[in-house]
Amino acid sequence: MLTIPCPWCGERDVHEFRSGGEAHLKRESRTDNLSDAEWADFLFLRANPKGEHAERWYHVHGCRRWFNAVRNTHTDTILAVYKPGEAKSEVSQ
Amino acid sequence: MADTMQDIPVAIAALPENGKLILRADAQNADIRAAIAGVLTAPLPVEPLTSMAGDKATALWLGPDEWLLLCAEADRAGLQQALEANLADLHASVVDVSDAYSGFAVTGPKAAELLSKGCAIDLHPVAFAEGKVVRSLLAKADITLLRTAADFQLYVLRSFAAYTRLWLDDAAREYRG
Repeated sequence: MLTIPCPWCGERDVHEFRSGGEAHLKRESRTDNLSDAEWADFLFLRANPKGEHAERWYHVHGCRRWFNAVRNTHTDTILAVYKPGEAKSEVSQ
Repeated sequence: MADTMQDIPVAIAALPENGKLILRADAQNADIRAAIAGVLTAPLPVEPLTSMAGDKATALWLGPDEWLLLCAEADRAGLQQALEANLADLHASVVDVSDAYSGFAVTGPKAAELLSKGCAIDLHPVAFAEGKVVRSLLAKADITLLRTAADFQLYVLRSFAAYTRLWLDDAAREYRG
């Protein structure tokens, strides 16, 4: 069974969660100043690393809170979780 | 013939209608905590997955800023009004969701084993003691599960009640002699 540690609820079955994609994306406040290429990059292009990846996760069938997780996309191991607003966790290998 | 509760491996019963209020508030705010504790006569449980029984209501932690308050059916309007009056100038909300949820009580020595068939939470008394509360899934249905001294109480959305009852009854068949 794959489990994800919710920062509030602790280890839970993966089926209680919904993935929210890449974390820490920043939307420019003046998107009208962006070129089409920059805007398309923000909308559509995402990092797709093999290895550590900071992601947003939603504990939809639990406390219904969003949080961030650093996951190794190769091994599917959750390396760190942290609450929204907290700085990205530095994962020591 | 089973004549005491202990002889029945597991019993499932619909809980009587009760009052259910969803309280949303910032528990970091001492004024809000004091205003709520004044009505509930017990401090709000801020520790995740815990509950606190007061004179008028039992408060169940659902999230860092969300609680489910269980009270007697006759008290639900009064409790909501008392909370709203105390929280009048504060950033908080109290919503009556009594009719949105149905409750079941699962009782007996096999109660945890029965629920474990459809729920990935560790329900052993060491990991899931009296007063602990979780929101999770039971056979794909969202549940709020509370362990009391006597039983497990689980609340589901009303539209899931018939399905949940059928699932529980089916899962309990092997325990019926």
